[in-house]
Amino acid sequence: MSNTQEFKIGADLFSIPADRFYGRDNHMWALYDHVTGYATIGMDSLGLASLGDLAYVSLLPVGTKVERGESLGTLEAAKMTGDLTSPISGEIVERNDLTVRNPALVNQETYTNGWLVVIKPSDWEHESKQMVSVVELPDWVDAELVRYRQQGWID
Amino acid sequence: MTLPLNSEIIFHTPGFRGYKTDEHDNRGAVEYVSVSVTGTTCALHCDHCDTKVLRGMTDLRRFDGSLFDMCESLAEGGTRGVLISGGSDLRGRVPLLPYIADLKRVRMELGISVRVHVGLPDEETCAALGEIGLDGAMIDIIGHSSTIREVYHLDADPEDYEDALSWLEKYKVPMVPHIILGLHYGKMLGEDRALEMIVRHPPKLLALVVLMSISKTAMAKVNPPTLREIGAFFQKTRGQLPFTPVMLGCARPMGGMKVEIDRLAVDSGFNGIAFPANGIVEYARQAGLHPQFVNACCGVTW
Repeated sequence: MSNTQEFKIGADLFSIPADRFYGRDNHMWALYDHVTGYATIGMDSLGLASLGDLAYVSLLPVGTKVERGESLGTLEAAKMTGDLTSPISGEIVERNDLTVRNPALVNQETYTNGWLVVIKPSDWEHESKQMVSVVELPDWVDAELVRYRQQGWID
Repeated sequence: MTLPLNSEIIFHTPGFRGYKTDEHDNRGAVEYVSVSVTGTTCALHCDHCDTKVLRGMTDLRRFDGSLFDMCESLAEGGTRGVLISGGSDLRGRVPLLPYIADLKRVRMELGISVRVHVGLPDEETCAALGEIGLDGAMIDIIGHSSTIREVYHLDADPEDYEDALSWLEKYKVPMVPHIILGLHYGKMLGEDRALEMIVRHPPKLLALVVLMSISKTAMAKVNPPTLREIGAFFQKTRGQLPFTPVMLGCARPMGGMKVEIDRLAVDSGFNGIAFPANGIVEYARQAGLHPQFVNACCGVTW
C-alpha cells in the first residue's frame, strides 16, 4: 500500500500521508508517537482545500484539557470562520506558535511544520479506532472528494 | 464616535461562508444561497479575483434544471433568499438576461428574496431587472479608468459606471453599490470619485469593502490601504450619506486587521457589518448599539 494518498483538485495535486489517523468529518489529522505517547494534531489538505488560505489561527493554551469534537482553537480562512475541532480527547502539552504567527504555514507545510498542537491523549486506543486509519484511507478520500464536490466546496 | 440614527447595528452572515464565533453561529445555514450562472467562468480574469470568488458559489451549470428549478429546490430546503451572480463577459456584464423570466417566477411563485450581481450592466439589462421585483442589484463602482483597465481588464471608464447607476435608478432597481477600498493594487485611487457618483444616485444602501488579497492571483501579495486611510474614508462616507444605510461588506483583510477595520466601522456609525470579527458584537453593544443578526446579504431583511 502506498504511504501517501494523492488526489487532484483542478490542476493542483494534494496528498494525504498514510502514517497517521484522520477525523472522519473534521479533516484533522493525529500522528501518534508510540515512544512519548503523545499525538501531534494538524489539519489535512482536503480540509484546507475547501477552506482556502488560512489567515488567522488561535490555539488554546498549553495545559488545557479538550474533549474529542470540541474546539482546540479557532481559524479564519477565505471560506470559513470557525473552530479547529480536536479529533481526540486529552491535554494540550505543546502548541505551534509558528502557525499562530504565520497561518499560511498550515497550507504550505501541512504535514510537517504546519502542525497545530500536541495532545497527551486520554483514550487514544479507543478514539483512534473511530478515526480513519491507513486501511480505510483510499476509500475515505474518494468518498470525501465526491461529498466535497457535491457540496461545491472544491472544484 | 458617530452612532447610527436608530442605534441598531445589523450583523449579516450570508450562508455562502461558514461562520462561527463566540458571538454567533451560522454553520450550515441554508437561508441565503449564492448561485453563479456561469460557474467558475469569467471573461475578465481580473487581477484581484481571477474567478476565485466564484468558486464558493453554487454552480447552476452543474444543476440538472433551470434557474427556477434550482431556486425551487433550494426554497424547499429552507432557503429564503438567493444572490444570483456569475462571471462577466468581455463588456463586464454578468449575463443575466437569459434568466429574467426565471427570476420573475422565483419572485412571484416562490416569494424568496432575490439579489443580483450585475457587473457593469447595459440599459437593456437594467430595464429587464426593473421588472423582477428585486431586493437589490449589487454593483462595484470604480472611480478611476486606470483601475478599470488595469485591474478589471475592461475597456470602460467611470462614466460607464455612472451610466449604469442612472439606468438602475431610471428603471427603479434598488441599488446596492459597493466600493472596494484599495482596489488599485492596494492604493486609494478612485474611491472618492466612486463615492461622488453614488451620492448623485442615492442607493438603497452602500456597502464598503476593503481589498482582500486572494492567493494565486496577480494581487496575492498586495497590501491593503492603511487603517488611517480606511478610517478616513469610512468617516467621509458616513458624512456624505447621513441618511443612507452604510454597511461593511463581506470582503476585507482577515485576522488582526479585520478586528481593527470592524471597530472603525462601528466607530464611524455604520449600520451593519458582514461576518464580524470575534468580539465586535460586544464592542458594538458597549458603544450603545443594539446588535441584530440576519443570515443574509447586507440590507436583506425577512
